[in-house]
Amino acid sequence: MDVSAPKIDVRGIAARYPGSARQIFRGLNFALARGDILTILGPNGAGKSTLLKCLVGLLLPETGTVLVDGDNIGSLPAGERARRMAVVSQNEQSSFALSVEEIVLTGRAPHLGMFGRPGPRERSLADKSLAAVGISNLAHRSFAELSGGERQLTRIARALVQESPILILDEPTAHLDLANQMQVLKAILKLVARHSTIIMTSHDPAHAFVCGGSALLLNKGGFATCGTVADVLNDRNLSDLYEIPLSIVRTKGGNTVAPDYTGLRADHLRASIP
Amino acid sequence: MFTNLFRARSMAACIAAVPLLLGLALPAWANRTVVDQLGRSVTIPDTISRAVVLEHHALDVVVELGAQDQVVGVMRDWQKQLGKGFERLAPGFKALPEPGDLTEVNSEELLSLNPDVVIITHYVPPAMLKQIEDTGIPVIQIAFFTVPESERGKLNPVLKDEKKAYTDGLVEAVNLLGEVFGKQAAARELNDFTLQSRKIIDERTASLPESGRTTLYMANPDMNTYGAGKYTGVIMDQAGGLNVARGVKGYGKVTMEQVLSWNPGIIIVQDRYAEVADQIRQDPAWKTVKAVEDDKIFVTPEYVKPWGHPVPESLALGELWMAKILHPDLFKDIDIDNQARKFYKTFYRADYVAQ
Amino acid sequence: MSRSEATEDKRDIRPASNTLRRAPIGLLILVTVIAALGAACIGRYQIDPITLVRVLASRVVAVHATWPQSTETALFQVRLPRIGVAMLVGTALSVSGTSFQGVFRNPLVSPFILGVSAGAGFGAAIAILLGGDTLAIQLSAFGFGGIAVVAAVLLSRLYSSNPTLILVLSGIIVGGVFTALLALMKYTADPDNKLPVIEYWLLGSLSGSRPSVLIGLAAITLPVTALIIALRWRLNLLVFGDETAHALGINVKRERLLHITLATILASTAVAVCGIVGWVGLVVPHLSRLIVGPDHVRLLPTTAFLGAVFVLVVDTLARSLTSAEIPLGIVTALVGAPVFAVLLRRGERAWM
Repeated sequence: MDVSAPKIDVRGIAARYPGSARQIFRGLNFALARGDILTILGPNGAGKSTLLKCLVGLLLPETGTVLVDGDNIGSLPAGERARRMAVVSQNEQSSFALSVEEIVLTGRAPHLGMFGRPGPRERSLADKSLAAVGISNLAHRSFAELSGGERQLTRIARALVQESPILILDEPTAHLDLANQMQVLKAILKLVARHSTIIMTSHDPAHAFVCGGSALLLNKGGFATCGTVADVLNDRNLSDLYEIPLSIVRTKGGNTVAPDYTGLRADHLRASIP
Repeated sequence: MFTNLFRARSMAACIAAVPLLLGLALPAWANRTVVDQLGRSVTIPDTISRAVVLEHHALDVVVELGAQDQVVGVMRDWQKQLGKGFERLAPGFKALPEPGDLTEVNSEELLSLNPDVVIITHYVPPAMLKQIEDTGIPVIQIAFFTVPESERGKLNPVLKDEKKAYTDGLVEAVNLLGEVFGKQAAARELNDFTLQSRKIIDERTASLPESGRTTLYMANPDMNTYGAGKYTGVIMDQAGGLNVARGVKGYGKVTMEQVLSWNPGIIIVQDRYAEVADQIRQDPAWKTVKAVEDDKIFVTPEYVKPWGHPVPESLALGELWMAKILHPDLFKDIDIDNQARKFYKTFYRADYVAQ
Repeated sequence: MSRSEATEDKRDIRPASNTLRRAPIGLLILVTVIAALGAACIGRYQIDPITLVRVLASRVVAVHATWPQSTETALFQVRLPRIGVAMLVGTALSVSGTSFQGVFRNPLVSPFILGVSAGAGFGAAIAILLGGDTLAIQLSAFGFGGIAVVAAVLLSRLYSSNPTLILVLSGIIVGGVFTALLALMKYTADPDNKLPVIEYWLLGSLSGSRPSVLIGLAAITLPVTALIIALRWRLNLLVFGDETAHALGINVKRERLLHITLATILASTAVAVCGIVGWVGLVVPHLSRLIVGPDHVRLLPTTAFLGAVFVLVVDTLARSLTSAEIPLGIVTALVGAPVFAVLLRRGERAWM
């Protein structure tokens, strides 16, 4: 482990759908130091999830490398990789109604051997993580009975208890109502304050403003624009990215992004007149 | 005028000659009716020269009647059923085709043998019986016991008087086969020998008390044994013993605990399953059984055949053999080996070879 | 409905009682021992409880023998080995079922899902046809059960999508092939001598349990079960799927293979010894989940003992209800299927 190297260093990666001529993205380059946060934005189908799979080692990029603390992620043993990097992803269904505490405890796996089992120390770490995301009262509830937001917070608590310096989140606020989104963003910001290195994808550009740091705009053609939020997030870049007219609106609660809905109703009305 | 008369006479002679000639030719096509052991009337040719026998007891009797040359097809696995020693008594059977057995038959193979009669057992599946009847070949069913209407097709029948059913049934079967194969004289001789032997046993064991009898167990492979309604019980009874498994209906499996509970005094093993005797001797679970402790495990000589159905030698020799084991003093003067030699010479036309 | 009201409603649905969830393993062991002693008193050969205790004691201390020698034979050569085999088979099948359910993330999975029973049935049939003795039949059943699973795993490697689904489908394919081969064996078997033996074996029976069988069975099932229990927490890691497990630092392919191998050894050994006894590997894990919940740390030891008691009770019924023994597979089906129906209804809350 090279301590002076960037926490995560992505060099020239490209990915392609298996057996297809079409490349999803190519020549992506970026690096994060300790404590940095990167939000990846892009329309559906741009390849955000594929990019994330490359970053966590689930997918081998066609070309290029992903380095974590100077080591190629593909060559790291699974346990070591999990000690350096935790992942919060979506749509996981379970047929077994484990409790929140039991699920959070599974996050200790990279620190326990094959025959290890969570003990009192692990349980206290889990309690701390649950407190950090504010769901201590749900510890013994069945995961199946939780709301979407509570489930997401459980996953974040699990990633926390993993004690990995890098945290990767895939669309952490997808399918959540506004109140739940707020809860999740709060938890993420706490992590930013603790100097975790965070990469997260989002369908909502406003979240990039909330989290600050850097942003990577991945468009449908597979090209990326990368830089600080201030540099990269402007009306033109965002409109090009999502291929619809967008403008940044500065409000009291922070910046948000608004599509231009004018003309939508008028067009529709015009079309229905015989 | 004389020419006309002459012509009329020769005409008459010719006309008279036709039935005569036909009469000479017809015996090959002349038919008779026999009644088989399930009460079915079957029409078969006067002389049988191409019989297919798909039942092992019947095969045994056919050889004893000296009719083996009239057989053109035998049942599958007859060697396994009749024991290793039987092959030398019927050397011709080895080369014969095997178009079927106790529960199934191949119609085409049967037809290709052009048989004039097929002999099958009483418990064939109804489909098999119909299959043979469809070929047009006469089929005779043999049972070796007298079958009440209700127990017709059963492998494990319920019989009120087992001894009478099996004795009468055996005599009836031998007579039937004798009639079919044209060996009535040999059949009579065989039945006489059998019943005479029987008389000896009946006379001597008549005085034995009902209670206090030695208990017997027939050990077949895989914990199988014979219960009520089978000839095995009869032969044990004849010998003055008691079948421990008489509470079991017919042929079936029993458990080790049951055997330990029954604790038989003598264990009989059939010669065709001789390996079971050694298995019992070596199995620690059997060690405390009385028969094993007293080393009273007997493998039957090949003529005993204490099976579910009887054959003549079972009654003629087998019952004597078993009686002698249970009551050596009562049968001290009987030399079974001598009886066996006589039987083999007369009915198998071979020497008896003790295994 | 306001948000707080919605939360209230959800909080009313509680998971299985927390007190039972924390029931000590000691209680389970006690139940198992009592069941074993009870079963030891039941059987064709009459032994009353007092004599039973005295006979057992006589093995450790000097007790004046008031019983015939055959009682000791019945007890130590026949009945106790059978009780031991029944319990080990129950443990093996239910632990195996729990492992498979964890690996495949599906509570409807039985230990025979990858074709073990079809392969073992074929193996036994071949050995019976070739005139093999009991040991040969057991080894052949064990071997072909393992071969079936290996074939299913290798077959699944040919496809790259959705590993668990592909594994199940491969298991169906391999199972189908062996079932057909078994049918062929039955068709060619001698209907008087061989076919009944094959059919009887397939129905499942513990009547051949002897001390040697018990020792062989214990030598395999105890260490493997201990290993599975030592690894039980790892099954929790597979619960949310391959991607999550990967994120937690699990080499998913390897660990899945490890669990499948251990569970297959148990299932294969059980089937080799007692024939095809179904429903145990399906019902007992469910029952255990209802009592202690789905956390594999508590679930596996519970299932191990519960399975032992289940098969012990069922086998005791099978050998004592009627004068002729009822094949074990029949009784487990007659008991297991209705129990499963009841469990499904009650357990609908415990898993989605």
